[in-house]
Amino acid sequence: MNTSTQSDGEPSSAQAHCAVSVRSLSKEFGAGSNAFLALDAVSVDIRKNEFFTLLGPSGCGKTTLLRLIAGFEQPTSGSILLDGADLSAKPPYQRPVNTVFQNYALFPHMTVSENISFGLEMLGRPKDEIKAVTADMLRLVRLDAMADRRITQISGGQQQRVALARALAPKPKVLLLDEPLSALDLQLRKDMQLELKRLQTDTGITFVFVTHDQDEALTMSDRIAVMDGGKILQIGSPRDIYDKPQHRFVAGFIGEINLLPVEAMGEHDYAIAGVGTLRCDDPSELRKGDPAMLAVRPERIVLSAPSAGTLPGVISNVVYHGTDTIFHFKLADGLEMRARSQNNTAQRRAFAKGDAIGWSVDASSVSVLADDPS
Amino acid sequence: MTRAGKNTLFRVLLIGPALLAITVFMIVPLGLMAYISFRGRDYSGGVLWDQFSTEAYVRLFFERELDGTLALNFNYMIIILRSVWLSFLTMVISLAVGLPVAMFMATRDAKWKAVLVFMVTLPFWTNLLVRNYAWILLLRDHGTINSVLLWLGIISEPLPLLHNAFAVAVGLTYSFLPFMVLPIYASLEKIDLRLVEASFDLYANRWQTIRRVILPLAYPGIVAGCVLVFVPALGAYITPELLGGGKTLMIGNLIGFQFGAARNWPFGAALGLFLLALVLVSLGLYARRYRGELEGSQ
Amino acid sequence: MKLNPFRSRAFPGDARHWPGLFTATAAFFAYVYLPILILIALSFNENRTVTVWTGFSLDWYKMAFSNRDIVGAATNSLIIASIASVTATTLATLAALRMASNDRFLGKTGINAVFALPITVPEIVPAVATLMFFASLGFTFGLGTVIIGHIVFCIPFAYLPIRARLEGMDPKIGEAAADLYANPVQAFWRVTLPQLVPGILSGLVLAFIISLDDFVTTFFLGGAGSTTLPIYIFGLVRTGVTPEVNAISSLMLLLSLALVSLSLFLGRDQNRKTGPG
Repeated sequence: MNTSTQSDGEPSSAQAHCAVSVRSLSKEFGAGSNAFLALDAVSVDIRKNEFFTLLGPSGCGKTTLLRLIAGFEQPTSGSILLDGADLSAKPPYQRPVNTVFQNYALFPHMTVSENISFGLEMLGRPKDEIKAVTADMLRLVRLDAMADRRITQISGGQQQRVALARALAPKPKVLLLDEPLSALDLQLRKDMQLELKRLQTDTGITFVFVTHDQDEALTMSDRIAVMDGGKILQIGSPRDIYDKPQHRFVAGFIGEINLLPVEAMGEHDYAIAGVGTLRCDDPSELRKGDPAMLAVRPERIVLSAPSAGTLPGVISNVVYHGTDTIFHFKLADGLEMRARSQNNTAQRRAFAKGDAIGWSVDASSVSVLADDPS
Repeated sequence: MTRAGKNTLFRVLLIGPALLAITVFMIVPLGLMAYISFRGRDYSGGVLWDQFSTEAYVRLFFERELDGTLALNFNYMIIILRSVWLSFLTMVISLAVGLPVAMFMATRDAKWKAVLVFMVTLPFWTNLLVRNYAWILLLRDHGTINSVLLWLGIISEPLPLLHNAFAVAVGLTYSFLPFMVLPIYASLEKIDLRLVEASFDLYANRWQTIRRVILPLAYPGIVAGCVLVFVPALGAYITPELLGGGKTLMIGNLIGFQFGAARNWPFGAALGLFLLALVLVSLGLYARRYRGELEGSQ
Repeated sequence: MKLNPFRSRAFPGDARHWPGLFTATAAFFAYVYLPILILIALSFNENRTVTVWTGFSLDWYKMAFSNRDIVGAATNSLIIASIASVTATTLATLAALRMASNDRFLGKTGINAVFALPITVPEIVPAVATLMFFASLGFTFGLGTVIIGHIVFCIPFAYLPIRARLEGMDPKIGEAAADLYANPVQAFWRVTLPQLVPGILSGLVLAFIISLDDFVTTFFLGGAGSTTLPIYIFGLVRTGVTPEVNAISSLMLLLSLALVSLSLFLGRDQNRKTGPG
């Protein structure tokens, strides 16, 4: 999946559009029987000016990948190219990338503006430039009034913005963000999601964002890489990832989903034993009779009275959720499915437990999971 | 220079000076002490460097008569046993006093905890000699305690409070009590108070809760506290010197005596080695049993 | 009972309000602080018999300050404590900088044990051992031998808090410095050291107090001209209680209290409020 086909060596024209190009990168911690493979031959191309998100559960390798790009860890094998140049031999302080740390790692003995100007000073920039850029950055994150405060004297949300400004001030080619919003409360997190997206658009810097929060990933990213067990399982736009998961893990990690064991009938048709057939728009390479797994989002299922063109089911439970209602229904083979229906006047339907219903899904909303025929 | 070589040089330059200072002025002298303890002593008290002798150790248990025969001598054994006994007593009293105090501290809110820890720590950093001297003022025949008791009419004659084992026990407890309170507090502090509620919820009464829930959880702190009180009490010098008078010597004073009036270096060295061994054995037993917590607390 | 500010609600499952805890703690603090307070109070007593209060007086302090022996002893104490604490803190800081990193190397545990040795063994043992060592080498006992002895036992008092502070530093802070283009040397001077300074000062003050208060090592390693305040007090106390001793003792107590408060103030964890944690 998404493995680059070019061999390591001269940057190709495709790589010219890449900010970061990761080549079969592996990282093993410990040695001998304690060895743990945190990153397993990962390859990915991150494009210029995109908001790229690494999404996965804790321990999936996303933070390790970020730390390897920053230079805090040395890879066991593989390479990282930045604008086509190999970074592997460079220590973190020679890499034109900056990091926003999970708990910010602000210098506690410095003021807000001293934190922001630190990187520029280390780069040996002229004094007036440092002053001007720092002032710009303070404005950018709306902390002009806090410039001379100590780090301990500002709120968590403000610390978060100082961390951003500090990392943006040296104008890095790539900004790495390690779960930067995880410490904020819900409302602040929502605000900061919009703010981050705005900053990324305004500055035009490539953002590589690590998170375990699917909402964050879906709302901010241009592209998402879903990771598990040290591997990237799927890369795509938020829409692709959500609507067309290719792996059971991806399907299950992001939102709710119905999984249907089926048998391939033709290029687009799949049979659910004892129930009927479902159609999927995407072509597949499965042959007739091959087992397969379909994934369908609950909100894509349309419930109606039993009729021709629908598949049969029986309502087993109705759970009211305020904005919408979840209908649990059983198929003839005992499989339980869920359908989500919005509680607006147009779509409101009243089904009760025990009602026989008919259900249908548009062929464009069905995806076939590639890795999981069982 | 290679990276590994640079690393080694860096390490030697940074750690070396402190390590050298302690090695030359502490570890080497302790080695010399062990050596001297096996040397002979001339009649004026000097060390006979070229004569191997176990006389210093024999002296711990026996007295050499004029004709050269050995007779059992309990004088030094009594001092050693007294040291162990007084240290043990100090440990037990400290535990009895320290446990409820630590419990009280651990159940306050964060602000009070900080204040109480400060108040417990503070006396430790004040002059040990002066703190022991303060007890002379209290315990003397005409001291504060006797004066108050006389004034209240509870006694008609001053009680003999000073220059005995009682005074030494009071002084030792006073000197080392913070070492008992702080580790117990540290282990109790981590306990979630809801555990106590859970214990009550499961029909335990107060004593059962203390015995079955609190004490087991405080156990590492209790053991650490006992070691931290017992060890320095065993080697105490100032307290028995000031509060014990001439009759209540402990090992520390006996050692000191060999380098003063008695002038018997091999014997003093043997006693020092004996005390060192006692201390290292208690610490070793503790470290073996509680390695995890010991490292965790460092 | 009304005195107990904590006994507002009583519920048996609430361990904060168990009977006896407050009483025991109050008794404990009385036991710890009353002797000190009585000593200080008596130092202001005009009566020569010392124990009976007759009136307020500063005479004993005046007498102490005009006593040449006391002033000389105080000067010795300050000289020894200054040299010993500064030297010990310098050595300890260098060692802690290397020892606090979490890499492993051969003998690291052993070296940590050596650094803790001077506070592990009862002071009397190394004191007499060093006495024999210096005597065998033909050293003249005096200020020099006392200072060496003090440096050795001051090292752990400075080393342990400094190492603890280094280990308590967020490793991410170092990474942040490297991420922002600071090379290892710049990161040390601009980020590590400024954060460490309060810890170093705190360790320095602790070492200073410990040296100032020391009796045993000074007693055995001292010689002519190295009488410190504790040695002087000890000499007086052995011959009898005088109000003058109360005055010097009180001054020593207050000095220690002031210094330890300063040390704890310097060493308080300023990083705690950083970050959301």
